[in-house]
Amino acid sequence: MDWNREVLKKYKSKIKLAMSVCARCGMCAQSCFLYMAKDKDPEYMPSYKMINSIGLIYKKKGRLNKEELEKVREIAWEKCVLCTRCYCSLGIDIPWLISLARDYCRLNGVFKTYD
Amino acid sequence: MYELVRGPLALVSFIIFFLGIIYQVVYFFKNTTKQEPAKIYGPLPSKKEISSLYPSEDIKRLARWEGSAWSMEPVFTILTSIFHILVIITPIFLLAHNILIQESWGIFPPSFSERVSDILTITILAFGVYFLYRRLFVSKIKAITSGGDFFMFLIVFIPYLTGFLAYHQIFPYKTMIIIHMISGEIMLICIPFSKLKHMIFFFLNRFFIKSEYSFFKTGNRVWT
Ligand code: HEM
Ligand code: SF4
Ligand code: SF4
Repeated sequence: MDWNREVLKKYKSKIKLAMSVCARCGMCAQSCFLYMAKDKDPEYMPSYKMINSIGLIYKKKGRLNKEELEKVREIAWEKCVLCTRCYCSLGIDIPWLISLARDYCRLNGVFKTYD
Repeated sequence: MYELVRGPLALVSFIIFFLGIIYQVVYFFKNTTKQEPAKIYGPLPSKKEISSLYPSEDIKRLARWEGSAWSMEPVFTILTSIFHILVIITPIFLLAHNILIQESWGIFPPSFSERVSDILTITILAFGVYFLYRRLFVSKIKAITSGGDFFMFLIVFIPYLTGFLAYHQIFPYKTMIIIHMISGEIMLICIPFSKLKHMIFFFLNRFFIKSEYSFFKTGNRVWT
């Protein structure tokens, strides 16, 4: 069974919706403590992380190459701790979507390593 | 040309606009489910035990406030709220639009004076410059901006710009008003099917989804 497809298929319409509802307004930025702690590095902004993890997976229909997969892994674990404190003015559930990117990574044999 | 754009095309775009909104509302309710209340087994903890485990209402309220856009980005929140109100009320209460409505249906909705509408339109265009500046030069906005955002920017602001130019007859009026009407119709059609659908999902998400930021705590639906 193609697990990548399964994750995507189950939540496809919801991922697609979130990507198209996001107004790219940047209002979620300051609500993420990591963004604040990293001197407001845009790569730590919740919407940036959402668009470049689950958004990328959706855009590529689940077919990521090695570097892309590594980048998604880095976002989903090193750049977000799923603390669920982010605030989206439009009510998008960003942590849930990033957690789907973690699911995708795990199914592809990539996860957080403690070394 | 003028008659075609004014009559049938306008009607078609309004029909698509309203059907599109209905489609998205149905889509929302099909893709979300009502959250079942948690099943509790065994005796319930007493009120005192609960209050020692969970933060008080005051703390929760403070956390909600601290986390909200109003406290983190007050200036942008106020500006964008003004922009959104203007974008909606300006065309609705525009004298020229309402004269067309009267010609077609014989009712004359309340309208602003032409001078007021003119000032509101200039304000909207100034907001356009401000949003463009953010997209081009503010690093956090730049990081999440793609070509599609600039495209939508044009879709949104061309109707206001051409309406303004037509009213002031800066370019040939007939051409300008046709461009204005076509671009306005395109914008209407785009609302339910592009990122402008945030107009619909803002209300659906913030009223119906269970979240600490749901308005009046009415939300009881979940995406999962
Ligand atoms: C009330 C909740 C809403 C919020 C928080 C919200 C948020 C935003 C934000 C942050 C932007 C981006 C501006 C930029 O380009 O930097 C935007 C754009 C826009 N919104 Fe909303 N919006 C809301 C509701 C609506 C509604 C109800 C409409 C319906 C008319 C609407 C129409 C627009 C339009 C026309 C744009 C300009 C598109 C662009 O230039 O990117 N919005 N909105
Ligand atoms: S606040 Fe919400 S709509 Fe705005 S950029 Fe962040 S995720 Fe997108
Ligand atoms: S869930 Fe992730 S993106 Fe959201 S505030 Fe926490 S660390 Fe930041």
